[in-house]
Amino acid sequence: MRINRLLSFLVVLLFTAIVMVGTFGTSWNTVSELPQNPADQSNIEGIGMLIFTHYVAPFEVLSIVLLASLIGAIYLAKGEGNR
Amino acid sequence: MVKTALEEFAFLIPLLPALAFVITFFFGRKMSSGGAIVPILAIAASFVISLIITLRLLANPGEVISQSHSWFAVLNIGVLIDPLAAVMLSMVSFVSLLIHIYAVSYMAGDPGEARYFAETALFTAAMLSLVLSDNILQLFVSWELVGLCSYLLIGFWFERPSAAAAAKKAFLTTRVGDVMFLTGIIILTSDLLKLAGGFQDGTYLLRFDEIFSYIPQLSALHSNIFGFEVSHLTIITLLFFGGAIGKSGQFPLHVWLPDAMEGPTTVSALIHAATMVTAGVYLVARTFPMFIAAPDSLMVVAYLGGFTALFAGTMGIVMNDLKRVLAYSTISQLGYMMLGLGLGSAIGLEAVGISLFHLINHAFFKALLFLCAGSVIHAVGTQDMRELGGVRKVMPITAATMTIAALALAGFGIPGTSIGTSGFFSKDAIIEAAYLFGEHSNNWIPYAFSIAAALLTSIYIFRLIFMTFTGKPRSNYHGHESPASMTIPLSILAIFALVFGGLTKTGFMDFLKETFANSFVNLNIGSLAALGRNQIVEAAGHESLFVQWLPMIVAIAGLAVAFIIYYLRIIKLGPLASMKNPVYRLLYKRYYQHEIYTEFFSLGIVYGIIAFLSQVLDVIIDSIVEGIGILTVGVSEELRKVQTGVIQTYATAVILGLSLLIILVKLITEVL
Amino acid sequence: MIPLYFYLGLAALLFSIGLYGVMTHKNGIRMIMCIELMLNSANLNLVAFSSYTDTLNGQVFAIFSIALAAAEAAVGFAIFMAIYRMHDKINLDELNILRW
Repeated sequence: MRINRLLSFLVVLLFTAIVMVGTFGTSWNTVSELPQNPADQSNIEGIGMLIFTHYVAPFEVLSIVLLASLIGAIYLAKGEGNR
Repeated sequence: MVKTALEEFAFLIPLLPALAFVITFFFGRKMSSGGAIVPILAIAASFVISLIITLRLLANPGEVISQSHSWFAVLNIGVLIDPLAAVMLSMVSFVSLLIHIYAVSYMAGDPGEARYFAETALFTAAMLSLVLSDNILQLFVSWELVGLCSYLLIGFWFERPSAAAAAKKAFLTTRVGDVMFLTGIIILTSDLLKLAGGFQDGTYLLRFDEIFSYIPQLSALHSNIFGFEVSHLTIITLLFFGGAIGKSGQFPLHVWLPDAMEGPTTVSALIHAATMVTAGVYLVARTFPMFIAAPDSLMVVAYLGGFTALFAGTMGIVMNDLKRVLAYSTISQLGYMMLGLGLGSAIGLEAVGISLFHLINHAFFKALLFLCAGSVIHAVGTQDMRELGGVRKVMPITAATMTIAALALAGFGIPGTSIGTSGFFSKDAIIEAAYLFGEHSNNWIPYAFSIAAALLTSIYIFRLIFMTFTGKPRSNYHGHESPASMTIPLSILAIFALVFGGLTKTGFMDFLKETFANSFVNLNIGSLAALGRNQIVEAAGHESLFVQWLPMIVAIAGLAVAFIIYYLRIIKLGPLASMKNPVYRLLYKRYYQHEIYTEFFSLGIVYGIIAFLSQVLDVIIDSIVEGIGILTVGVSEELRKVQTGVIQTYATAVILGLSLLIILVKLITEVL
Repeated sequence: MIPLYFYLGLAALLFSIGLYGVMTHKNGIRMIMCIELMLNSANLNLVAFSSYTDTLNGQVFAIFSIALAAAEAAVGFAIFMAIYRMHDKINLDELNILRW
């Protein structure tokens, strides 16, 4: 039942090595120049456009999820007694 | 028209008793006298049919009845009635009929009466089927069935442990013979398949005519066993003879016959005098062309038969049980029949004639002897001859018929004429043939055996007669003459024992000569004999007067010896016939065969090996079974520890597995 | 500019560190923090890909991922609070009622 730190370290090392080899060995299809938008440096406008047109359904669902988790966390952390 | 009609009925001969068996088995208990009337009617019908067929065959011996139908796969089932089969059929059905009538009153009152009649009906059906089978496999099947019925009938009073043991002994001993017989059939079949190139359509390879047609080719096959060049035919025929040894009680497989007297006396009369034990002789006679074409086979048959005749005779003179004497007499006479067949190496096909003649006559007088013994036992209540004596005053008819049978057995008659009991003609024929054989090949051993056995035969049978029927009663017994239903079969058999021999001697021999030269199978025995390096001589027929009279002299000598010792009581055997005399002890204990076979061999060696092996196997199998269990538990104990319950270990395992999987996939896609 | 795989390598490194933390620490709170680390490395990945392929989908997805990570962390902490209230220990080694 004891955790073997050395074994975990080795496993993680192995995993990292594999992922590194995988990423460094693959030729990614990338753009040659990073795009720069002087008017909208942080892309917030673009993100906002996408959220409210393409991804509005996940956005609504996410709000419900946040509400549910909020209620659940408060209830769980409150404990007995003073409801 | 009558001809074809008869052919259709030939298959009924064994079928009717089989139907009687079924009916008696299920309904016999409800019918009066155990349902005996059904088998009697069935066997009477079989007898009538076989008699008609025999008479028709006598008229034109060339036309035998032969039918063959396909049974299943490549096997056929069929009927063959040639002169050899016809006389056996008539004899078997006739004697069986008489014994059944006798048994109605012998077994009256026995609680298992229905079972008895059912089993004897089945036995008769099996024996008839054995006789008229036209291929060797069907003969073997009937052979086994006959052995089964013998087992059932010997152990009829199975509550007696001695009876159950005797039945088991009979079955096991004949089984040894049966295994040899089956081995012979297997070798024969494999050789025939090799020669014929597989099973052909339209012919049945194991039918007798097919087998005989392949004999010249079979005799060319040889095998090398332990450095000896042995012909296949010799092996096959000797194995067949092995089966005959078991069934007909020749040395060394004769040990079951005396013990088989535990069954009812009618069973002994039917099975061990007239029919089952003659199946072995019938087998050798049926396959006689194979025997004569195989070198040395007939010599083995002759020697073994002669030796058995003498051997059993030596034991018969000291037995005190009425039926035991008759049992040893049966073994001895069967030895004579085998000897007769074996002499075929000198006299050719006539050997079948003389041997079968003796078989038929022996059936009559031996069945008569057993039935009379049964009558005495039934009336007086004891089987031990030392307690009998003077029975003649109480049972005159039985005494008279038994004396006639004794005269027939000892072979009393006037040589050179046609006057004599039937046993005289048949035994004389065999002894004459032995003399001819001795003259021709200068080998006097068979002749010596036969003469010595004739002397002993006379001694023991007249000892039996004098001890039982004459003199003063040695113990208190109450007896009465048997009822008519028992004495009438006795009288009929007595008449046959007296006159059958004299009337039918020459006709019988000529009739049986046609066995192998007819529409079914046409063989040149001479050419076959040449294959077996046997030289056939014609019977000279002009021996000196001394040789002609010698059997009779020997028989009278035996009668005189028995007369002096047991009737006149002049010579007191006293110390000579007691257990202190080592020779007497040897004979009385039957040459210690029980000790050798049962105690030493079966119980000692076979049981010992089995006990030892079972212990070894126990240990081995126990360790294997337990080992599997222990292995499973151990492995599971270790594997259980994989499920630690610590979630980090699971995570480690997942990542590790994933990494390994990726490496594996990469390797495989790159390597392949 | 630097090639893409630098960002991916960094994200993999962060993920491994978080993984090592999850595998070794016994404290529940520490485990949740390491899980957050792993989630953030995935976010880094998403943004890197979105930036280097000139689309904004990855960044939208990263926002959703951050929000969900927050919700999940909140619930996780609440559960640990409840456990602590009941058993007075938060060491995963000692929470072994369901173990053999």
